Amino acid sequence: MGNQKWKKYWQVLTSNNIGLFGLILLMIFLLIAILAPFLAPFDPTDRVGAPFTKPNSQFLLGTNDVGQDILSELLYGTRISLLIGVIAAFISILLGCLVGIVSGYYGGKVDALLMRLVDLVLVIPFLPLMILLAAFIGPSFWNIVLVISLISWASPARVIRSQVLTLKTKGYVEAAKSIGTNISVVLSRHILPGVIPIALSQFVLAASHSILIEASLSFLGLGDPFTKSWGTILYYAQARGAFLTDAWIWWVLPPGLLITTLVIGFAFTGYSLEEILNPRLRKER
Amino acid sequence: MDKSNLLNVSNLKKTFIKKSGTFLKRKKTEVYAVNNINLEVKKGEILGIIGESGCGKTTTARMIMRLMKETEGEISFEGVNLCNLKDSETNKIRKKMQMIFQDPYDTLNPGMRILDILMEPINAHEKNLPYQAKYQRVVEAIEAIELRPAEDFIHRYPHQLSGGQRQRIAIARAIILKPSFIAADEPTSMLDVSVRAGILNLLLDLRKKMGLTMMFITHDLSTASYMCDRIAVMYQGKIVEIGPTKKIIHKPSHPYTKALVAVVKDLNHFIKNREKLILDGEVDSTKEEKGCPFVSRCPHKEDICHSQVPNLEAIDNGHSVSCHCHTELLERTS
Repeated sequence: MGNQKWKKYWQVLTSNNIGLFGLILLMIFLLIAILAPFLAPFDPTDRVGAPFTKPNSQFLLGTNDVGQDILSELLYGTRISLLIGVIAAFISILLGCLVGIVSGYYGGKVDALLMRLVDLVLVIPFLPLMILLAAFIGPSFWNIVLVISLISWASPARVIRSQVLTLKTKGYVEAAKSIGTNISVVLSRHILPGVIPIALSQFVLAASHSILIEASLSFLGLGDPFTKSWGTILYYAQARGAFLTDAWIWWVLPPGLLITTLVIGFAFTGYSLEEILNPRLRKER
Repeated sequence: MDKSNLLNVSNLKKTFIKKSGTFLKRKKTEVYAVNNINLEVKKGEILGIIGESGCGKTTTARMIMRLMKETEGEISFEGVNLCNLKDSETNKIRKKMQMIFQDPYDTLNPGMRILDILMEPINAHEKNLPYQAKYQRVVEAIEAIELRPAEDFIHRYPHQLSGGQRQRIAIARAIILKPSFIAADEPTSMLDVSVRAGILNLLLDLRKKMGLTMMFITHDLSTASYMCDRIAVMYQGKIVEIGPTKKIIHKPSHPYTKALVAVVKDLNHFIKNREKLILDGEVDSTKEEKGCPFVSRCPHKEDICHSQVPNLEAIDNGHSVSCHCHTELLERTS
């Protein structure tokens, strides 16, 4: 059933227009990130033109305040945004899986304690906390990743816990216990395979959140000033007054659009993944 | 304690706590699932436990299999008291006692091949065996449950098998470690009637070949009479009658057993004389222990039944019943 199952998932994913669209968007961004050095006309850290050049045939989106090519910045920025999004989402899903499985499987006091912790993380207003954390531990690539994962593991933990709760009552889990199988084997052979598809869809959704959070942090100047992400570009655009002049068309709009598109790509993929996992959401076809 | 007993259960109790009421007036009431059960299973016999749903049959089995902790009481298996064992020691004991579950659609992991499913018990207890030997054991187990040729089945997934075949695989999983005791929890109730007999005969056959001792849980008296050497009838967490199958079938003493037997023997007769055999009534296990648990549905109740709990008393060799009126009942029916 293993291979067949995944084949079927793939079919549902691709037979769904939204899912296919999201997947294609993600592929395009992945290609841009990988091929950035070939696609970008200039090195984004080089001062290649006069500052504040308007778009022309040489600089398609003009230059910024120190004369760097904005198009190249954007193309390279895809790497950072994608990387931060994926790494932060991965860490938060890992944490979420751990908490969710432990909490769901062991139940009782451990469960109560962990779930109250989840509640706490969920209700904390996240933007002020993030600003505080980012300001406190200082801006760097890994700190941003850490901050994002710290605040976004809670809701996957909830979802995964509820899945573990249903898996736990399955007959085969009970049968394995009565056979005398170790807990670690029960968890890895019977519980984990049921959790992975859910974790996957949660991962995709978490990645889209992470990208948004990264952009907002960077925009507020709390990102790493030396890595060029889309958020950082927006931050400099804002700091140099691009919002007040015509420059917003080529300096502010493109990174904003890119962020939106990438997030939409992740979100669409995530929603159709959810549809796979919850057959009741599946439309009659 | 008798040496020939494989399993001894004494004063076993399980209560669940039911919370009710609002914040300030919270009430905790105890619900008895199993209430003071005493029974023993002799080596090589099949003891049937029958009773209606919710009477505590499965809870008893789950406690014996250590899937659930008892509230009170003692379970001893081959002279070892299971109740005070640590988890690691319990896991070792599990090699000798296995369970067959009710629903074969639920107890086999849909994502695992038959080979992996049957490997699981071997891996849990005899991990160091070489792979070839493990494989051989799996093939033997599949052949023992009459799925031949074994190679045809070994690489299939559960959804490629029929219900009866699945239950056979579940049985194979239970016998692959050559246990001495098996608890079968309604192994045929989810199956098609046409394959039931096959499964029952398989179990009887395995018992003959492997010298198995079994606890056979069912709600169906005819199945129980076919399978079991002795039958214990449970009602609301208590054993109301226990004895050799023949005695239970031909000379039932407890009014509840009588009703059960009447249904099986002659359904038309039972429907016509329903009021004389059993009364309709709500089963309420939260009620405090005052009087016979069967009193609300008993057609023969006396005053004493409301005030005093009957004890399980021997009326014949190996045949015990817990009813205040059984002597009078015997006279009345004769």
